[in-house]
Amino acid sequence: MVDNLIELLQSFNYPVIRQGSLAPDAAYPDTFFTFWNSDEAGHSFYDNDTANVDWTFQVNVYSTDPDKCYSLLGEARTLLKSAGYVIATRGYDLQSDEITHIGRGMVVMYLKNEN
Amino acid sequence: MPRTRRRGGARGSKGGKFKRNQFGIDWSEFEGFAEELDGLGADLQEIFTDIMQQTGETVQEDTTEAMDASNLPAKGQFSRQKTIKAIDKSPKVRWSGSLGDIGLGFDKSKPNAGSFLITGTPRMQPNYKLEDIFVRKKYSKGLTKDIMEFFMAELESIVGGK
Repeated sequence: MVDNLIELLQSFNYPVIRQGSLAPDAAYPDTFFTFWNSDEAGHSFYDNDTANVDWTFQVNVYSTDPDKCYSLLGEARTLLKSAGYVIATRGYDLQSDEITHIGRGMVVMYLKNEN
Repeated sequence: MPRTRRRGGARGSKGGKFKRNQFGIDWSEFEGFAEELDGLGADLQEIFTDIMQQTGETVQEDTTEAMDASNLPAKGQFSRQKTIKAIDKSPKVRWSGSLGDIGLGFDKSKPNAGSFLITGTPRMQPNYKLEDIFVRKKYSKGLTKDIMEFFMAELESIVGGK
């Protein structure tokens, strides 16, 4: 699932990194995605086994350009929804380590059949 | 007790009616019950208020524990305690019609880095323990279960004492 999410986000041609993985001395790219797998929980069970798994991710965009930050997150939302992800929110503000960048994020979920 | 009553209206932070840092109860589903309980001298709203107050205190304790230095970036080396002070120490239940909610975790009116720690940043991973409380479903499901058990126990003691 993580690979699938990364692949979809990479189609926008911006760097995609795991939240918290940027080195302390590494510069923020101008615009980039981060993701974080918050949860991977059993959703339903059958015959003593997990039938469906609920994947929950945070998907974030950081950018020096506020317009880009909003529009790119919106485009990502549309793409992920068309790929079967469930996204209840339109997004929320995120703080960034750099005053040059603003951040927007959303929680995306995917119900994956294990069989 | 009819099974339908057990469904209740308790919702964790994932519920649509309440914000991420709120826990709430919609007691409109219990209205029929309320009349019966009134006859027994019990106030359903008071019971719910008590239950939610206790839930708020549990979350407050867990949030304080999650802010332990070992869970903070650089093991709390740069912590100035502001965020710990912003944890809502005495959450209060607010009622609006049949909807009751209680703020959980950080007091948004005070400057703090609570949301920063929950979501992380490109250079800092999210605080695992805070994510457990405010993001993962297991925790809020556990709270809902505790609430319903507490609620049923209260009802049984009221009905049993009639």
